[in-house]
Amino acid sequence: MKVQSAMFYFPEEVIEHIFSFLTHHPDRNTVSTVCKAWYKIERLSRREVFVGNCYAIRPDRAAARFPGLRSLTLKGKPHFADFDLVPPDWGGLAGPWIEAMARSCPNLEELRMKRMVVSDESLELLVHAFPNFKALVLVSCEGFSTDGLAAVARSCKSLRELDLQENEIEDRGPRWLNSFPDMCTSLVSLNFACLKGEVNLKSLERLVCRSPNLKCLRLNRAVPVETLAKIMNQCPNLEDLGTGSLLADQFSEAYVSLISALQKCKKLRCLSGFWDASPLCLLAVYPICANLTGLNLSYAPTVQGQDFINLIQHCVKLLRLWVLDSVGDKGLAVVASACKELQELRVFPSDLFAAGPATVTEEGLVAISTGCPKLNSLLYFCHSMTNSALITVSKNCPNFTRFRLCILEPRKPDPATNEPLDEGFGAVVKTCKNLRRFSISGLLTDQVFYYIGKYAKALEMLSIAFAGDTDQGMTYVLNGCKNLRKLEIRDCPFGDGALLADVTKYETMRSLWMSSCDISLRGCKALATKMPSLNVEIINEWEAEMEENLNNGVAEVISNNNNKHINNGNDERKVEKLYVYRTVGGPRTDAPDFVWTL
Amino acid sequence: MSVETERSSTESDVSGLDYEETALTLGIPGGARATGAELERKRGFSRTVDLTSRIGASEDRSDESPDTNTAGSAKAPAPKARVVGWPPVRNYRKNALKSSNKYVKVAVDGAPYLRKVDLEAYGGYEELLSALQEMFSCFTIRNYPNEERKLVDPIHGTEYVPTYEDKDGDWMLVGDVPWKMFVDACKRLRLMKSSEATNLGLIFTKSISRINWQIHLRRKHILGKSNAQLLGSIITLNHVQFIVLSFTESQVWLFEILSSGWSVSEFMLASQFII
Repeated sequence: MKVQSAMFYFPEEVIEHIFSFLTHHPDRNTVSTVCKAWYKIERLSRREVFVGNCYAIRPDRAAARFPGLRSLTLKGKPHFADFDLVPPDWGGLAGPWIEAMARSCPNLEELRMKRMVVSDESLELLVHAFPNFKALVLVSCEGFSTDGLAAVARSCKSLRELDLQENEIEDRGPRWLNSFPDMCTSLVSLNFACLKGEVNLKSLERLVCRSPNLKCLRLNRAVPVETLAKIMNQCPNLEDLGTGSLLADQFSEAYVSLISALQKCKKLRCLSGFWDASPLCLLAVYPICANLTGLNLSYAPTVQGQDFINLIQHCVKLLRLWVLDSVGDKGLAVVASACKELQELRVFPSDLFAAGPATVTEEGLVAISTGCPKLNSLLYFCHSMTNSALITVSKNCPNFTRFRLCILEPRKPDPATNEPLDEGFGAVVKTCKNLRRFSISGLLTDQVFYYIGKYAKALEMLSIAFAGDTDQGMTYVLNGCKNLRKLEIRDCPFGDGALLADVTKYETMRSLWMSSCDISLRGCKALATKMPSLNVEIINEWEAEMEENLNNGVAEVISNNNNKHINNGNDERKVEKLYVYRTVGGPRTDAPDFVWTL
Repeated sequence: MSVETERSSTESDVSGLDYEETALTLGIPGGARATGAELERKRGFSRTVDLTSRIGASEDRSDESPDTNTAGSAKAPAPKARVVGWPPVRNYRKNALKSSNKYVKVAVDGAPYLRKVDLEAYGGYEELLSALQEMFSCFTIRNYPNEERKLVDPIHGTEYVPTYEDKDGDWMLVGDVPWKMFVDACKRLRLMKSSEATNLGLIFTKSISRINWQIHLRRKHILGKSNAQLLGSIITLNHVQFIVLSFTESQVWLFEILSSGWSVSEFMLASQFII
């Protein structure tokens, strides 16, 4: 039978048009592998690129392949960098990417970066190299200051979006807001909630006044209620608001002004901020609660008890809720009865070391699951959890795609039965067929990993801490989870046997992180030798190391010479931190001293 | 009057101890003295380490149960061990939720009542000491070349050493750790008379902030050696020498040995590394 490739008879423009319907990155990646012609058409027509690991490919290669790029998303440091497990100066530099894009992709309009190090100079380059630049989104980034923001504000002629989420920004004064030129009227989204310092309030008001398209505005803590009220009066079309400080005196003019301003904002769907919120200001918010789909109270420890209950019971259309555990099981019960449409819930700890009385327990979670069957995304910090609660929760909510449970005390068993929580988490993976992201905690044996390997077929990201008994645990996961992309493990007794159980698996994954486990240098070297397409990196924070002659009770300083460390024969040394990822870019050229690529 | 002379003279006067006896005692000179009893309970070190017999040191200890070494120190740390990066909450969130007021009591030896200061109100150690100076109005700050800060009552010439009680209940010298870390850890302040500090045999070390505070040590796997073998051994980190005193599940206690210019008979305050 003769197979005809009908597609070859279509001109390129037609194929390109067909590809324009493919927006999902994996789909576009797939079509680019069909043949050379398609590869070429695809790469020239590609407008958006997502790079989940900035070291998976060299910036200039990515830039050269997609010259028509309009939007780039980059992720840098491994996820556990959020929790201080990655030393500073590890890497994730945005500079090389921005420079490469500046050379090859002049049409860049949007840049989204997460966990990367961006300098003020890079931001300057960004706004000067790309005349059409419209949107900058920085999440958990660092390395820049308000001077960099001033450069962005000043030079972007048609800036639409400046979104700063949870970044470490050096504060060099409030003048950056003045840098938005008077003719800049294109702002749609401005989020500077993470800025710690003062803001020039008059400049802010003027900016808002001349931005008729503003839909999302998230202020920082330094913005008082008076300014908020003025701003709200200017933007009745606001859809997403992050309040500044909600501290207000009784019946002040500001308070009255705020109430009337809020009532005019009929389109407001998402609220956050609530810094220092006084109960009085919360009253002002009640009238708009009925239309809210998103509410973030996780930075508002003052909103608890009856205040919280009074607020939340109005939020009947809520889809996303972020709170602190100070709302208690009682508060969660009210959420369960009021917010029937709830899809995402995050409960953060207000007391990080579980030193006080328990605030939320398994009861709160069970109540939520009973009242909110549409729940599909959960992040829950609690003092304790039981197997029976988890089993009930998974029965009530079989639609979980993201399930992250963090029991504050490591290795804590089920308090009712003193058993590990294997069965509880096992129930979650058995029932929730669409589970893509999973974080587990508490006392766990290899059994939970057996369940995960057997049932979690859609799982893409798994985070494990203080769990498991033997190498078999990790092996179950590597063998069973076909769609696994990211695996991060800390403080588990998995050793070389587990690491090397299925080395080709890592080529199908974005990355593997293992810290404080039982792996040795020998195992890591073996992995590196067998899999040249992976970067096998060891992070070693020790400024000095001890040599084998500890027998004498005397330790000597070894100079931090990589070769000497790696090849001095002692391969049995335990590796403290391992980061393995697939890459076509070869070993990192910007690795600091403490990162050794094997 | 130089600090060192003052100290050593008060030491030998008050403690009346033999030079050898005071060689690197891991606790208060004389160990069981009443004045040091409370501190000893907190410190828990009552064994002498002979600096000259380094090589044999670990062997001496190897047949002793590590528990005797750690027994005392096990009482001192907080009941819940602090693990790096746990619970998994971003720093941004942790910092954002810190209460903006941190009022701690300030006691001054000899003053009839205590005061309170808000640590969050100050940007650093200088500001804090200035505030304390104002508060107790009779002091001036004297900065010593070796970076120690003392408050001095000019009328009587008494020096006060600023100390603080940290979350684990230990009394520490103010100024060693980064400011933010101090604000987080400090539960109360005490301006201790310098002479009392030396009576107790506590000589404060230079700041060792150059040490990487994120040293990770695992109980069983410190380069393959067990705790028993490491105890008493001398390790060098970043050109500074330490004696390993004890391990617990979560902490290692090290004594810093200062380089030339300080006699080995000086007593040192242990620096605590969290793992």
